[in-house]
Parts: sequence; C-alpha cells; structure tokens
Amino acid sequence: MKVGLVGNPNTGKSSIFNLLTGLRQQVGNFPGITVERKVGSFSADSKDFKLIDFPGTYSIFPRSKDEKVVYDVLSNPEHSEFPDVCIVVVDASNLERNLLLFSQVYDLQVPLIMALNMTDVARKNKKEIQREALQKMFPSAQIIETNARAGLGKDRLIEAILNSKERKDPDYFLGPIPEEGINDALIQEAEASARYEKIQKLIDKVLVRKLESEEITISKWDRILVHPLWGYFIFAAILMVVFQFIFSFATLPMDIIDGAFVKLGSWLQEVLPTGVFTDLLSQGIVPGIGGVLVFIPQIAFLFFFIAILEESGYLARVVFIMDRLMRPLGLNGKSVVPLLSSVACAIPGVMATRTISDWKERMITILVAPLMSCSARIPVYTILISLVIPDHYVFGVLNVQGLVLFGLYALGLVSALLVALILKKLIKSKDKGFLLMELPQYQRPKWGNVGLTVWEKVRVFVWDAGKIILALSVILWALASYGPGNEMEKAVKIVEHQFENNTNLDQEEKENQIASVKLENSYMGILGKTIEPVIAPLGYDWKIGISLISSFAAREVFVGSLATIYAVHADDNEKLLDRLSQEKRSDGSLVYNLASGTSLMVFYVYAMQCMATFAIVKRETKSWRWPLFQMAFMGILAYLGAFITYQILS
Amino acid sequence: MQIVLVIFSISLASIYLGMQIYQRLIKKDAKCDACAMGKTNER
Repeated sequence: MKVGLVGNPNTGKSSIFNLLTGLRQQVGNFPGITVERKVGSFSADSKDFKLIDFPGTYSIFPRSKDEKVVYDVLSNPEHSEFPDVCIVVVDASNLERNLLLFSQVYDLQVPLIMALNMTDVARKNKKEIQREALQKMFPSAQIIETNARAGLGKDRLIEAILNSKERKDPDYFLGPIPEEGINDALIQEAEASARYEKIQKLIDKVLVRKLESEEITISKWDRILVHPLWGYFIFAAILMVVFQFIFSFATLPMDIIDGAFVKLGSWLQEVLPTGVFTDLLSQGIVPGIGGVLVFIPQIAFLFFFIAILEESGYLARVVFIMDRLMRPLGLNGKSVVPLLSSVACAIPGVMATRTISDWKERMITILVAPLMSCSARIPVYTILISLVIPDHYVFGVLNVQGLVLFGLYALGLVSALLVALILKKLIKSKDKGFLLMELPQYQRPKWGNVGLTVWEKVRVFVWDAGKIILALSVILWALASYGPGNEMEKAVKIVEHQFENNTNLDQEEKENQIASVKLENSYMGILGKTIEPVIAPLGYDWKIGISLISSFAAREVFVGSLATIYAVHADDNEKLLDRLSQEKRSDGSLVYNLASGTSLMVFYVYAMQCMATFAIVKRETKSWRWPLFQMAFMGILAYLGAFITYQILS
Repeated sequence: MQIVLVIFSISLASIYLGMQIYQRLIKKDAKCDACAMGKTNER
C-alpha cells in the first residue's frame, strides 16, 4: 500500500517521515524526472506500507520543478506513484496558509489524512484549534493531531492509514482544480483568492486566538538576524565558526582513517604472497577506498552544522538576507544553500538547486557551484601549501599557510560571484525571478533529524562517488603498472645496469629509480609526456601532467598519483614532501617552487576535475551543452589563471 | 592465479565505469527506483 506525504515546507514533514519509517528510507528520484524522492517503509497490522515523501509546496499550482511533481502525481490516479492514501501535514500554528494546499489536495478527491502538526507551537502562540469544526468542513478527511518532533502521534497516524477508504462520491471544499490553471497565472490567482476567502471564513470558526506574546519575541530575534547590516555580520561570524569547527574537529578522525588504511595496505603487502594482485590490493584498491572514506568526517561535520542551522529555522533567514546580495549577481537567495553545500561537494550542491524556481538563476547557480572549493581540493591544497609556502607567522598570530588556504577558498567564492555576474549578462531569459518564502518559527534542532541528514549525505557520498573512485583507482593502477611492448623491461634493465656500476647507492634508492622509470614508460607516463608541451607554460613537467590527467575523474586522486609517480609510499606525506621538495628539472631548478606550486593551486581552484559533477550537471540540465560549456569555461579559467600566476611569480 | 584476479578486477572496474558513463551520460530511458544519483530517464 502506498502512502503519500505532502505539506508546506517547514511543517515537520520530515519529522513525520522519520517518525513512521525510522532508518528504513532511501533517496531516489520520481520516475521520469530528476526530482528527489524519499521513500521509506513501515509495517502495521501485518501489512507493509511504502511512504513517499513529496517535495514541500505551498500550493498545488507549481512554481518549480520540485513542486510540479505533487500535482502531476496526485491528479493522476494512473501514475505509478499515486498513493492509496495521502497524509497532508498541516502546521497548526499557521493554519490559514496551510489550508490552501490541504483544501486543494482534498478537492483532487485523494483519500486524505490531515496531520495537524506543531499544535504545541500553536498553543505556545496562544492559538487553539477547534478540531470538530475543522472536521465538519472536510468530512471525507481524517483529522488527527501529531507532534512529530516530540515523537507523538505515530499510533494515531497508523490507525488513520489503516482506516482510510477510497472516496467514491465527489466531495469538494471549493470545487474541482482547474487543469488549465497549471500554466495560467491568472486562473491560479483567481482560484487561490476564492479559496482563501472560504478558508478565512473557516478560520474564524476553528481558530481561537488568545495572545501574541510569542510573535513579539520572534520579531525581536528577526530584527537582529535579518537586519540589513547585522544580519550579514552574524551570518559571516557563524560561517567562520562552522569552518573552524569543521577543520579543527575533522583533522583527528581523518588522520585516524588515513593511518588505518596505510597500515592495512602495508599489512596486506606483508601477509599476502608477492604478486600483481597483492600490488593491486595494496597500491590500488586499499588506497582507493581510503581516499573515499577519509573525507567522511568533513562531509559529516559540514552537514551536521547545515542541518542544525536548517532545523533551528535560521537557514531560512540566511536565504532571505542573501537574496538582496545575490540578486544583482544573477543569483537567488536560495543559491546560498547549493553554494554552501558545494564547499563539501559540488554534487549535492548542484542537486540542491532544484528548489530555485527561476530557470536562469538555477542554471547560473549550477554553473558556478563547482567553483566553490570542495573538500576533494583540500588534500591538493594542503600538500602544495606545505611544499611551497613558508610556515611563518604574520603579526605573531596569523599563519601564512593558513592565510593562503583561506585565500584559495576566497578566490573560489569571488570567482563564482564574478562568473555569475558575467553569465547573468550572457544567458537570456524572459522570466523574472522572485523569492517567495516563509520564515519558520525558531526551534530547538531535533537531533534525530540532524543525525538522519548526516547519515544520508555520507551514505550517498561513500556509496555513489566511492564506487566510481574505487573503479578508477583500479584502472589508474593498471595504466601506471603496464606499458606498450617491452619498453618498461628495457628501462628497468638500464637502471639495474647503472646500479651495478655504482655501489654507493642503496637498495631503497634503486627500487625508487626502478619504480620511476617503469612509470615513465607506462601507458600513463606516455600520456604525460604527450601533454607536456601544453602544460610546460604553466610550470609543470610530465609527472605533474600525469597527476592532472589522473585527477580528472576526482581531484583527490592528485596526491596519490604524485606519490606513485615519485615512487614513495602514497600515504607517507613527510617522505613525499621531502621528495617533491628536492625534485629538479634538467637545468637544475626546482620543479616545485613558489611559481609552479601556486600555479597548480590556482589551476585546481578553477578546473572542473570531477567526472561525477560533469555527470550530475548533464543530468540536471538535461543536455550536453551546459556541462560541456561549464567544463570549457572552467578549463580556460584554470589554464589562464595558472599561466598568469606562473609567469608573474617565476 | 594473481594474474587472473587482476584481469578480473580490471575488467570489473572497466565494465562498471562503462556502465556508469552509459547510464549517466548516454541512456535516455531508464527506470529509477531507489537510486540516489544515477539512473534517471529524462523527458
């Protein structure tokens, strides 16, 4: 049996979903469209139920792609997702607005349950609802009270689901929903006005208002938090604290994960018989899995804080204040969440743009989101900063390396805003964007919901991105381990011959040399040599070229590739740093100096080195044109930025 | 034996990546049930 879950945003819909399904939930898409669909399951009275969470919407008439799915499914009993019964979550503290959607769904003749949620908030606001009067106006619906955040109402909901029956005789609150109104703003306006008029009369009967003390408190908070000046300062301060926490707290678990995989690789090398599969396991698969899992702490921390901000009602205020700032740049207040999410990973960032109803603003947000420095860039930045930026302090407290890291993030953000401004002029659209939103009540975050958000984001990252990175690690290992003909064997013999003639060199040095020449003559080495003329003006040699190619699929592969190329164990950063800092060109100059290192950092700020982002942009824009355009302009920016940086600094 | 396992792993990785490229970038009509990021059919 299918149960639909519908409601306005911020009514506690997710809490009800979690209350009914617990951890038995999956994220997917509605068939035929790229609108996220959360499905959960639960059992009651020996029956299995599938709960489908529909996107939050204020009205059955859609303003965005997300919202359209509600009408498309609920108006079509033949649709594969059409529910046998639909729960509409209604915020009791904001009954008038919520009844618009409820009455519309009621008029679609769907078997209906009204979950009168947040009655505690309504009572706090001195509002009392006469449930019997409400029931009289909607005789075909079951009306029950819930308080999902407190975990109350589950039994009542299940009982209502079990008692639900098909509606045979048409029963309308206002009248049938005009089909032609879906694309006609005038019809929508007339329908909504007529509905609100009738709802207002109903509200007079069912809502008893007592005092407004809570509203006064809320407006006091909002006077500060959405203030045209202080609002931005407070948001910037919160962001700074969040980032400090992410970087401070994530370091320890990241080091533990990293260290565990290094040990696992070494252990496998020791216990398994010598051979190519052991090499693949210890040098390809284990570092590949480690390379994915090491980012879990940062992603978990970021979404933990975002979920808290969202649960508390503050994120809606951020969207509101940022709208003023973003609009002149061709973006929307709702672009803030995708851009913030892109600091962890551009994939959820691009997916989060679905809430932006204006096509042009959504497209610009998608195109600039990958310019925000994601967590995959952190290992690249970290190793390059350690290599070429001195570990000095300015004014006694500010670490230069830390300042450069901050500068790279700032460069990404400023570039994203500037590119958005340019794209605003280039992309033509007849529609004029607007932001319509409600500021929800401030609430204490519900930790269960925060935990589920973090779990879901981490699971998607590990499972979906992880499988691709793992498969690529195997392919990269193969390309770096094999070469055409017997060129590798010949090169190895030359090195062995050199070592036989020079007894001063130790065994470790010999092994490193052999690994280097093998790589040079592998398929990957040949590829690196082929592109060397193109990247030479940026200050890079063929070995950096290989790392650039291998990290096209995922940026974090860069460090692992460098480690393999320089024949040092992939996760021994100290050794890798030593080796990189001593690496010289044929003219005796250092390969990694301030000019080439900074040039590489700038390259990684701009380049779209991420296959998964390319795929997600292709999917979200439904065309090849936009991801190809994005890859082209980011590639040009990366090349030009790196070229200018190198030429100025060298 | 090790060679066989390596060939198997590389083949598996190649097939998986090929399938991903096909599903994410080329395939137009796919059923989507409980997928997170891939397998969509686009109208």
